[in-house]
Amino acid sequence: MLYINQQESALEAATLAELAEQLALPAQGIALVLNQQLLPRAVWAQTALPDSTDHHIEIFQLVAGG
Amino acid sequence: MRAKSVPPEATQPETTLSDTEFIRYSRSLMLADDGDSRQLRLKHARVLILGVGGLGCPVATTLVGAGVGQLTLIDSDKVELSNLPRQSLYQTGDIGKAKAEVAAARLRLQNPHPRLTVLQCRPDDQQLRQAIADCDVLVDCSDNLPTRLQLNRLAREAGKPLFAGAVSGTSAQLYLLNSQTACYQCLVDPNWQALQNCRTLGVDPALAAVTAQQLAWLLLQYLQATPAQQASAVPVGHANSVPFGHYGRFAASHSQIGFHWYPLHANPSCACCGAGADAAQKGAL
Repeated sequence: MLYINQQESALEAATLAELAEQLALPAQGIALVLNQQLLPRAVWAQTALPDSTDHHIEIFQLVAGG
Repeated sequence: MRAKSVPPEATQPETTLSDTEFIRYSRSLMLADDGDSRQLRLKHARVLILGVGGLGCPVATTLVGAGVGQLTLIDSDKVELSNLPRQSLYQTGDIGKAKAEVAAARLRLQNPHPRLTVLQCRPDDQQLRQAIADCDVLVDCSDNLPTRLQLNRLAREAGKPLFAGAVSGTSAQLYLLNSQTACYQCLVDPNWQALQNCRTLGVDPALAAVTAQQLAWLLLQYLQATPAQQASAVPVGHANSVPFGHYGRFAASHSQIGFHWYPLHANPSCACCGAGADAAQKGAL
């Protein structure tokens, strides 16, 4: 089961990159946390989301102000 | 560029606190059995703050008040009316004046002991390298992505720890990186046209202050630690921990208010710190 920002999700994706595509995430400026690990976009395609376990995902906008 | 340096009012022996310093910092000295040693390490610390705005003002105020020995303040901006709700070193009469200069003047009134250096410019790589060489710890309180990437790259090049805060709208984030961890560019595409700044999203003044003081607290933990403590990996959540290699995000829910820290994984092909950087170096040879 996928949980996205604490909400149960019906989406099914084999990898984080597939999930990002389904969610139509912007190409830049987004952070994605999988099971408490912040993963750079470069590794999303290689990061599998096996059905056998739950995955807790947090997605948030990066900010650059100060 | 103008660089101004004002020496401390009185030269003190490097290994002791003066009587006035002892009284000034007495409430901090009480906090630990080795309070004197911790305060002396703070006195010897050299910190660079890039950006003296909503985050940089409170960070600098706390560090100077606590007794950090040397501070380099870098900012090219002038004080604007819209800065005043959260940038507490500036007053209405300062509008139009150079931020870094005004900030240094106010900080000297707060505490005459620290050595303050001002760079009133947007530094190029050479200027920033020069400033970094004279500091032990780098603090990013800037308001734009190119500057963040520049300081990240030069921090990595110099092998110096980077403490950074970012705040826009109702979002606040922190990242603490060193040469053993992922870098900021692992996470952020340099081509991102970041519009998530205070000019476009606004900013919550209290959240800016909370973020800055969380950053200042982490800085003081680090600066007061022994070199051995600084080098040791302390678990996140430990009272003395500085979570290098982590990205913090402020979140408020019914049960928790504060920063949630996530380990930041490296991008193996990062053009700044990973294989991409190696390839770029080889290409340049």
